[in-house]
Amino acid sequence: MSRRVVVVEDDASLGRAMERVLRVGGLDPRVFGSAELLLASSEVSSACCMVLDVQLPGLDGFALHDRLRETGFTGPIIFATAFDDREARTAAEQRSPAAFMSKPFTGQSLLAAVREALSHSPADPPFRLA
Amino acid sequence: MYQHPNRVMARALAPLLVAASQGPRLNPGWQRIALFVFAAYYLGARLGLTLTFAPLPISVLWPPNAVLFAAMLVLPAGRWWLVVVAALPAHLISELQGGIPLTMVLCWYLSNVSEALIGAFVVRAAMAEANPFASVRGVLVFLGACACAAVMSSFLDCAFVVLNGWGQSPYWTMWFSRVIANITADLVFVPAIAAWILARGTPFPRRDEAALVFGGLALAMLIVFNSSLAANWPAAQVCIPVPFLLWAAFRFGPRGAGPAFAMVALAIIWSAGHGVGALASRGPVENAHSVQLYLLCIGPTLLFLAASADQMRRGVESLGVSEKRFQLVLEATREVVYERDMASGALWWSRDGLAHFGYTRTGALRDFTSLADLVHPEDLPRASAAREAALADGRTLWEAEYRVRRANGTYAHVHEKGFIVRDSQGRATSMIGALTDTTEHHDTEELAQRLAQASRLTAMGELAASIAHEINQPISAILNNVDAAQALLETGRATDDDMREILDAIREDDLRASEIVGHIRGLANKRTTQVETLDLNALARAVIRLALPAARRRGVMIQSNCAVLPPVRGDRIHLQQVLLNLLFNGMDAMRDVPVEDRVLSVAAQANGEATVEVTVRDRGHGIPDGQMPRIFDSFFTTKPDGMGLGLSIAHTLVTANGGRIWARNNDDRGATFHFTVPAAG
Repeated sequence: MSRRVVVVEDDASLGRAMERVLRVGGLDPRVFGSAELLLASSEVSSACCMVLDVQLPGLDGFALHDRLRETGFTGPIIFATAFDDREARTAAEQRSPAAFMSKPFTGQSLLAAVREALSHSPADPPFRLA
Repeated sequence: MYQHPNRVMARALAPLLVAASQGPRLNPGWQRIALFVFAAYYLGARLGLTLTFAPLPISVLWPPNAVLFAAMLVLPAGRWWLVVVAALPAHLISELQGGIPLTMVLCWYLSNVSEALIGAFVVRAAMAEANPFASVRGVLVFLGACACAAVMSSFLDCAFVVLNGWGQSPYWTMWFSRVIANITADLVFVPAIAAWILARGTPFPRRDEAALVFGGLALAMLIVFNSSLAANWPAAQVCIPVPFLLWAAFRFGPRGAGPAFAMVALAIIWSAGHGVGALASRGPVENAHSVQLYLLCIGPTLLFLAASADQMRRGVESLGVSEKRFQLVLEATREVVYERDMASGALWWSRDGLAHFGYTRTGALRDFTSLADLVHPEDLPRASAAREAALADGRTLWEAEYRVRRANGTYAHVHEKGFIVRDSQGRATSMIGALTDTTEHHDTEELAQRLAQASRLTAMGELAASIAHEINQPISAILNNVDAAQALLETGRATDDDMREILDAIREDDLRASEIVGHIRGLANKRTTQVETLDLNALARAVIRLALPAARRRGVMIQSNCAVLPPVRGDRIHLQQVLLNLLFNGMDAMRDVPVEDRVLSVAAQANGEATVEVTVRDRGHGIPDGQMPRIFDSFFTTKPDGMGLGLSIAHTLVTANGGRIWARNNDDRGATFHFTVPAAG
């Protein structure tokens, strides 16, 4: 069974490209354009891995991470951002992501990061009711 | 007792001269007028009698009518009734002495008065100026008036004579001799009296020369017409006074010609009447006719000459005054003006003009001979082109901008406005150019452009992060798509449709990236203003999209609310920069505000038909009252790391575009910045 990967990215073209790469790589991607859309859906419970863009309208990637952890998501979370500056790095490191991808990144590196993250986690969706 | 005509006239004129010297307008009291007219008329009548050619009652001229004519010429028409009334007693006295019936006397009074009235009326009707002797046209009018008046009043006069059964001569003979006599009288007396009074106020020049002329004339008159010396000279000796008369007319104008001619006339008449002198060789009637012929030939000639000389003198004077005024204006002005004579090529500069560029008048000739020497070689073709075009097209105005070399070798920017003076055939006779030094303005503009560029670069620095982010999106998308395509090809699962989809996506992202590069280039370039018709909504959207990443980083939400807008006129990049500056300004203002309250509202709406108003409203802490007047000043900033240029540059750009920019604190919190853009069309 393919692993469900949830991507939150507001840039439509990049979201589609990421979905393509992940699908061709054998995963089951879902793309959401904003944190709110994701939280409103029911995908959180079925996701094995999250790839979050930091610059989002509304709730940003870090806040979303915190929210996800609060609601009991224990799976790996990967941050993707173009702002490779000290502030963003610090904020990211504080949350111990599975990976920190700085844009632009290639499809291969994305796939590798996701696979790596998934390999360290249990096969079933790691969602646990808190 | 014979009294010299000049003394007679002097006595008559005295009260009037006194009155004339007292006021700017000849308006002596009615008593004075009445007195003068009465005296002059009476004396004129006596004179006329004195000057008859004995033994027959032939009068060569009859002064009283001329006196009335002259009086009406110098007085306003409202006073003519006074002249008429004052003459009556004088007339009665002088005529009744001769034992002439009352009815005849009264008829003569009527015809005399009518002559003066007609003459004065014709002159006034045909001339706008008061003094007919000062212009050639005026003299023509005067002569015409004399003829008219004499002719018409003679009809009346002779009719009266016949009706009263007074005279014995046939009608037409009487009529003719009266016409000639009256015209002669007018010629002799009216200019002599009126020219002086009408020309009061102007000083009589060259009195020594005047004394010489009149002295010489008197002497000539004495010899030719009043002594036995001339008895055996040829008849042409009558020409001897002529050079003096011409001299008087040419050098002294109507005021010289009038009295000189009167003098000669009276002398001639007297002597011819007494059988003395050159014109007294035959019988009284023939003598009278000779004298009249002589006077009628010389009189108008003198008047014309005097008028021409006067006109010419006035022309020269006014030219001199005009020239002097021009010089004064140029010396007083601080403008740089030059005049170039087309024929000689001579170049003349205002004094300040030369000094402005560091040249002195003495050194100028050494430094440059023509304007072309001063113009920057690169600008020379352009500078000359405008001028040559105007010259060739027959226009009178041209404008050009170029650089001019100063004495110290540096160049000044000037804006030249030129004027071509053309003669009646349309040929250019001279050119006058006024140069305005725009160096400062140029430098200021250059500085403003550099500042604007610096601000854009600063903005660019601020935007660097968001620019990087903007570009990274499409680049990341391309990289991901490429890897997906490669993976598909490797596993052999690639379908044509997949490939096409991926390639299309890659292409789109490439285009997106190049758009952003173009935008960055626009920010970095130093450019001149390019005004075009714009859609403010689209412009605002583009700017907001550019600022969004930065806004997100600061946790600011940008709301936009744009109504339907008419197209506007402005420089696209400048207006984008203004809005960008205001957005960043608003974001900075909300730095210390809780995240959920950080809202920046952008709105645009039409303000009447001529402008569109854009507002950027923040929810910061507002602008303290003390700082409000200074927020648009250069280098005024409250930010620790701010340059203080954003708002001042925005102000410069908005006002240069023809709009206004201002700020107001909101009622609830924060401030709103407004700026207007002129609508197109």
